[in-house]
Amino acid sequence: MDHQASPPNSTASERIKGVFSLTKESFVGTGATRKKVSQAVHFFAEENGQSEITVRALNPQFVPSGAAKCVTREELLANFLPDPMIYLHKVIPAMRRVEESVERAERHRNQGELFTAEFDYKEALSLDEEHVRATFGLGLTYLERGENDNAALVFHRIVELDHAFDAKHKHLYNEFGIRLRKNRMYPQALKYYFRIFAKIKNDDHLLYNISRTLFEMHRHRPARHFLVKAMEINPELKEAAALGLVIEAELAKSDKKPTGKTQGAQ
Amino acid sequence: MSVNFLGRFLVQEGVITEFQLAEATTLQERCNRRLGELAVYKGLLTEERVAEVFEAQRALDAPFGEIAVRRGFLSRKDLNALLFSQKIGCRHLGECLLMLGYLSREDFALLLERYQGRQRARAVNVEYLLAGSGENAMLCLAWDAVEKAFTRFAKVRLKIESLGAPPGTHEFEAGFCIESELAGSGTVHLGLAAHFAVAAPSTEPVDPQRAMDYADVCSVAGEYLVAGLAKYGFAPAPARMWSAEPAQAALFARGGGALLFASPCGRMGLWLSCLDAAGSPCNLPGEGGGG
Repeated sequence: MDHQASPPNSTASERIKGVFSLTKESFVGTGATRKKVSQAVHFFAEENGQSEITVRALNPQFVPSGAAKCVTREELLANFLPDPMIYLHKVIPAMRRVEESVERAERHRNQGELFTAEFDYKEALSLDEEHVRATFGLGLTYLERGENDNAALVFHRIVELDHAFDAKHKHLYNEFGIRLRKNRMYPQALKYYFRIFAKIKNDDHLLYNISRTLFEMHRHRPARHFLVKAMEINPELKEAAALGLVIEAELAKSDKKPTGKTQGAQ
Repeated sequence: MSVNFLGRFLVQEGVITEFQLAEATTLQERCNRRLGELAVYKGLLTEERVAEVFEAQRALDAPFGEIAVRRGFLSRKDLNALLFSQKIGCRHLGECLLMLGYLSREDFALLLERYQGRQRARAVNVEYLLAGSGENAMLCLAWDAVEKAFTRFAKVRLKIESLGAPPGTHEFEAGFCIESELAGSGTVHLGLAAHFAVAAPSTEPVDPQRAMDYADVCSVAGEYLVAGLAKYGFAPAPARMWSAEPAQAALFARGGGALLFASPCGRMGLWLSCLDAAGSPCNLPGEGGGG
């Protein structure tokens, strides 16, 4: 447990990092059998450079899992009790196993050993079902193997994970979206991009990717709409300029085509 | 026995022994939980509801989760979460061998690449295989019904080996005939026969919810075939099924298409034909002779 009371501008070695517990009391039974029971709930707390402390619940495998909540140092110390033994003997080994599995999986995926990668990603996810890197990795592995049904399962999972679209995972969520599109999973790719768009409105690459997907779905007008938005944010985006030319050419072609209505009138 | 399956391939390559394969298969059985089991474990469904969905699935050709959602037992979000949990808990046979230490990581990667390469080379696509058959759509329907029934109710994966009359029905031990009359269009006959090793578990079903006997699985295949015919606009009567000698099953469904396929336990054969009102072999109405 790296825990000491420290001022707001604490150094790395002074920052809080460890397991804290909260004792919850409740009553069970009724009448004469009614009794008070208490249960300890464990959390993993970590202080970042800005003196913010993020708290995440431990899952049954003692891995911090799920979305993080921010608390102040005072709140943490007032409401929670440090539990260094659990941190040392349970959490650190479990977290190490998860990270090692993910790293091994990524190494295998980079070497094109996709079945071994799948095995290691699943190992990591069996310890932490909400591990974002492992979830993206598993999805990418299935997409690279062309297993769209399996990838769709992971896709549904990712869109449900709130913290999947945090800035630190940007390269992963971009890669996943591009892969969905390349595997022609267009409806999923669009749903995925709009899920990110609901959270991040001003990402030029995201807008470009939406436009590209719409273009491949032959939806040229909305594709132009999102491309214009991308170029408003970043006029220097080279790929966008090239895509713009192709979209305009397609639109010009469809404008020239006589519609059924006009043909009928002639 | 076919080398279509990884375990058999590894035994034949001398990488693992039969005993190790059996151990890995047992571990795989333990790891790979069915969706209903998982839903009960996570407190999303009661055992009664699982049994209800399972019963409905005998007549309704739809995945377990879809039926549970349609009946309002599960939300779509819960279903997606369950499917994901099932996927990450699922272990392939190769992974079980790795977990048991019978394969090293290096061997696992190499052998799997080789196996996959071999699989790709001999992959048999049912539509492609049947492209030249006059009973194209019908045989596809029958295969689809049989494959789903065995996957869902016997947890047995099937792979097609060849198209055409399977040589020598003597290698099969158990056979069933399934018949359904089509209003005004004749009669559809499905003959199914299996190697003894496939049919054998029928005598000792491990758990009525997990392993149905062979006759039951064949009867579900019949139900699915009838449902499939109805989707194609035919008006089939409920399927009638009876057990027969494999040779009789083949003879009964005469003049139509046939498929030979493999399961990890052994080979199976499927024969299918349509007879007109006079009892002569015919194509289904509305179906081209060229497939």
